Amino acid sequence: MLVLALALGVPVLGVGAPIERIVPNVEALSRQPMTSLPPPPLWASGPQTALWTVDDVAAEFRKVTATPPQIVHGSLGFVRPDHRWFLAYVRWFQLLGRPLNLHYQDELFNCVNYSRCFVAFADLLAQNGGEMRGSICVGWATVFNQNSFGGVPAGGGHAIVIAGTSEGLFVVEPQTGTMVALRDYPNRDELAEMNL
Amino acid sequence: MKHCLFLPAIGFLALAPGAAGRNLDMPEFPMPSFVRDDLGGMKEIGFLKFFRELQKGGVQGLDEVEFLDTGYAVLKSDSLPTLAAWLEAACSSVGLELPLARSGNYDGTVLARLLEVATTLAVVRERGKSLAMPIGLLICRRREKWGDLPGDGKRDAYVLIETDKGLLVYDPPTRQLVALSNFSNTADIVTIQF
Repeated sequence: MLVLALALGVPVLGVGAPIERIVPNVEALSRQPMTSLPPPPLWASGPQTALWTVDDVAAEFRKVTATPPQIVHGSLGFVRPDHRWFLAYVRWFQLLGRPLNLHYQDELFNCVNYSRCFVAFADLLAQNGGEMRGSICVGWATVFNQNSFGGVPAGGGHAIVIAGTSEGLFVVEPQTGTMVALRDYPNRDELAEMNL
Repeated sequence: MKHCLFLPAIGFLALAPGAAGRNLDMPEFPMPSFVRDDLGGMKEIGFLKFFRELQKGGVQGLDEVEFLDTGYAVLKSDSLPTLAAWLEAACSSVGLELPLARSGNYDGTVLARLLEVATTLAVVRERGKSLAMPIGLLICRRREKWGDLPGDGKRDAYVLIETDKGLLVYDPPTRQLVALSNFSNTADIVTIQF
């Protein structure tokens, strides 16, 4: 492990077992330009926004399907975005295609990557808007695509976005921006897993 | 953990939810360096090899391990300081100072996802070979102390990265890094996801 620490330029600290730490290469980063993305919608954290636990999310699923997905989660509570903010965010995400060169590529940028990218930027914007109560209730999910939805033809496994907004659970196809309430999503009984 | 300036907060209140503000400026997505194969191309690791790496790292129950792709690149470990610098700068650009993040409602899942997305976007930008980035998520219960992190049984999430030095566990707020085989909470892993 000491070899690893030295190779990474990491100091060995502490008493007992050595703890290795990455030393961020700030100098390399300073040579890079900045990425500028279109003005995003301003995060809304007003009275419409409420916290949901993982159990709350699971209960919402059970209202519309007898086969709710497993929920993978890193924390226990999530902030629901204001629904109007979320609608604006879905539109904003569609604007990122050109500046980020987003296009479908097997393995490198497929449906999972689209969905994770959608979620990652949503988290960033909430943080940028001063949200301090935790991560937001926007996650990506895997589904058996029994029915076509949002321009994606039926068949095979697929990944989409599921968000708990101030108006309930919604499904988004991040590649096209199509959005419906979970109760109207044609594959709601085929969801395998939601990752919050 | 979050620093809100008073004047921008006033500005937020004056606008309806969803109204657009200023551009979102963040550091250029970080291009990692990759391990190369004998022909100079990007070395590929299949998910079966990945499974074996996890087993070598002491992960026994593979029911909670998920691979969403079939072929992954392998990162050179010397690019980790650049990735860490990017992650800290990106967080700072939205008001989150990573070293202080655990003083608030910290969710390591968000950072693991962000780092994977950022490196993927860097490769997409460079029109690189179509291999998935080997940056994943490890969720576990912290039953054993690891450096600054107590063994309090709480659920926590880290970044798991496949490198030329094997699978490494990285905690962004503390900058701690350890080989998976030496990670103190391997027995309490809840989920691994790539």
